[in-house]
Amino acid sequence: MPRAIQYKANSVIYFAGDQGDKIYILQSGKVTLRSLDIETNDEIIEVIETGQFFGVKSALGRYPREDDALVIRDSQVLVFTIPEFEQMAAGNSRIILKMLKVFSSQLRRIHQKVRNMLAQGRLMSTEDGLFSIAQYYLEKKHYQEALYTLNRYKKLYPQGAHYSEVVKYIPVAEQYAQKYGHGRGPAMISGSEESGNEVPPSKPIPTPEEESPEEASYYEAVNLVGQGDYTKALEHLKPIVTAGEAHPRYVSSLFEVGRCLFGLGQFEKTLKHYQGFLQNFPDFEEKGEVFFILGQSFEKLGNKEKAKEVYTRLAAMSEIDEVSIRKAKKALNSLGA
Amino acid sequence: MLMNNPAFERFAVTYQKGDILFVEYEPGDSFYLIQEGQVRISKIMGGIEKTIDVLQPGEIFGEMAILEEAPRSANAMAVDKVKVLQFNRANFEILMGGNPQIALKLLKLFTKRIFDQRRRFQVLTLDDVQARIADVFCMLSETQSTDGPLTEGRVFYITAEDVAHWAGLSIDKTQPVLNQFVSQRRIEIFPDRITVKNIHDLQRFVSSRRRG
Repeated sequence: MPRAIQYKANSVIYFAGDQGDKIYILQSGKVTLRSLDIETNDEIIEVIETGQFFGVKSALGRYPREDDALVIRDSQVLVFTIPEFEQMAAGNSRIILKMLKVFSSQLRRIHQKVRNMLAQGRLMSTEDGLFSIAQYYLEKKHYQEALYTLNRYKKLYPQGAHYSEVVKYIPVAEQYAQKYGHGRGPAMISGSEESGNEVPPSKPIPTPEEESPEEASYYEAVNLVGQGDYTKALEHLKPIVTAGEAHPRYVSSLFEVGRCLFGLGQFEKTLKHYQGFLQNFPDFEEKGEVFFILGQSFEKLGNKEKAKEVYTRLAAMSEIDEVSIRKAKKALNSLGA
Repeated sequence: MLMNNPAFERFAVTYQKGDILFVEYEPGDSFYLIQEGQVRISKIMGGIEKTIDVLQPGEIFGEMAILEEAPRSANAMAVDKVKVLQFNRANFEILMGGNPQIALKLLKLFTKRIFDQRRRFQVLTLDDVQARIADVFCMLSETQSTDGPLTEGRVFYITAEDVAHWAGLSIDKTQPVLNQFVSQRRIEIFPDRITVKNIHDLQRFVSSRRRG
């Protein structure tokens, strides 16, 4: 049975990025959904009307919430689990049809946007595309597939640029299909013949350019951080940090040192390190991550008040990436702020 | 099962093993619901036909045709003897109105597609070619299940052509960037796969470029 839940004004039902498996109907009060436009990054506010569903897409699709659901006035919402929603919907195709219409228009719009973006990178016309599929199958001697495609082309593009080739291929493909069968017979089309593709699968393909040894050492450290080997990563970072500002990766390396200290559970040291770091490099690119780790360190040391302070500052920063802000808000939420 | 409703028999079409239902670039005007057998969805990329999915009875495919007259984006072939119900836009509402379960299935499929397309769009909006290619890996990693919080390495069974395809770039533009990532030791390229050393490093790289 769906449950009715009361929310106080200024509370949050869910945040963007949360994993949620609940679907809601607003019964009374006022709720808005706040999201960012994927093209312009402008804030979009949608007001939920009484009786309206929200949280449907992300719950059914099992992906993270794309918006913040904010309670504007004291509200009551009805909360469905997915099975409860399905059961309710099975008896009410009108609701589903209405949602299908909304979702299909959203899908059509986003699909169109993707296609427009791809078209700018000059894709094949559908006619050329269809012909290229036929060519592929002819090359591979998949006659049945080739014939299907050739016949479709013949029917769809009687004035097409490849029409004369297509009608020439059809009888030959039919004949070869009979005589030789799938994957056999002489080549009909000059394609890239099996080009001895027998590189042993264990060796990486080498690349021409070589990096400077300084860069190599830095990236080695980043990789080690990635693998959770902080002690070894620190060994690689130390010489870079000692080299000082002359090293092209000096600042980034200092940043990585902090991550290592945190990873090793040395929270006091992490705090000291990053506090000094921020004084010297207040405009560091990944400042958001630095603040977040500071907050985490305070939390680990049991200093919730300081942690809250750091997260609040982070959440209010304007020049910071969306991911860090989201992380900060989530952390604040779990601290019960 | 509801789909075996005799009222829908008039929409049934049978295919033999190896038959093609449609190929990429063909105009699409119908969508399918599998009743029996399996359907292989594939795409030809970089001179290789890749299987994207093998669909089972009860699954829906070709659904974009309900929305718009767009060319098919992949090939569909019968793996064995296949029976499908074939619908078009005209009889779509009849089917959905009488079958909330199928409608629900389609609704779920749409939610997933909307998400995938939105994510794909996000990749394409990155003007910086390096960031765009890095974001392809981030996007692909989001659909992988992660085992263990400390392992930031990822393995993708894809080729440079696949990366180019997802990034909406030509292979000529993609390859140099991949090579650069290799020389920075961010990735390794093998004939059958690409490994990313530290996915969070790429994520940070992308988000720092996205802000600009």
